Amino acid sequence: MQMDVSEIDGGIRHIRLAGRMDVAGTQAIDLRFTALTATSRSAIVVDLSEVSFLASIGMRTLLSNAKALSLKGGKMVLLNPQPMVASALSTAGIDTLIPVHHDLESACKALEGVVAA
Amino acid sequence: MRTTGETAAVAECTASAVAELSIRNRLDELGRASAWLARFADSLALPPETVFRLDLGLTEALTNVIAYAYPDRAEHEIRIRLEAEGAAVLLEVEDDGMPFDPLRAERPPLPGTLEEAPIGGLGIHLIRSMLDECHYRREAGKNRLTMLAKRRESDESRP
Repeated sequence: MQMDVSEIDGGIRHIRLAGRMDVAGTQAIDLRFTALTATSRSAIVVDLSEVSFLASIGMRTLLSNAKALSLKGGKMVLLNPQPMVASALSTAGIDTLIPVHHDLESACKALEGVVAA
Repeated sequence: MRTTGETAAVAECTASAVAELSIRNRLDELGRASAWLARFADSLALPPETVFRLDLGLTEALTNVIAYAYPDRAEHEIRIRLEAEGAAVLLEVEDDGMPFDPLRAERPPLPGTLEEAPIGGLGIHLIRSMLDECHYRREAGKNRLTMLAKRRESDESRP
């Protein structure tokens, strides 16, 4: 599993995940992903467009980090999951907890006002 | 019918195929199981959506067994069997761990907010929701979970 990070307009952090978010894939990115989302009051877009598989262990990583972020006044949104990944997210009820967006513009709009001045 | 094969082998007849695999009860065996499933799916040109659902069922069932079925912490063998017939694929996971019927486990309530969301308990819910049928049997000291994925019209129509 691969992970790339960039900063986009307005101080939003864009994390692009790629590959299979199964047990091995999630273990491979978990520490770095947690470190990147642990910054206080961050606005984070997690781009899932290149994630081909998502198991419950990967959902737990997304959920626990979104939760920790939210408790610190930050926010995470998910971007562009593939159809079956989207279906798994919705079956697990994750999409009601971490908003899912289908274009970067609306994802960024949803994060407006989150980033610390 | 019970079979005892321990290696992965695809035996194709006119409209059906069977494959079997044995793995040890370690999480680092999951990749091998998913790769084996992918090869089986490739050989039958199964639709990606069907493969995704089978892979999720396999991953979640094995994760549960490996994490909870063996309080003795010893090495055990888990047997997996795939059978494709017509428009359906049957996936069977058999372990000799503690008796446990995942289909009777309580369904976790879907949380209303991020702050109150429990972290975990999702695997069994995903198995029950994403596969078309699930059955559990305890037989001769073994747990056997059977999951069925039907090929759907919408699966076939995708590129």
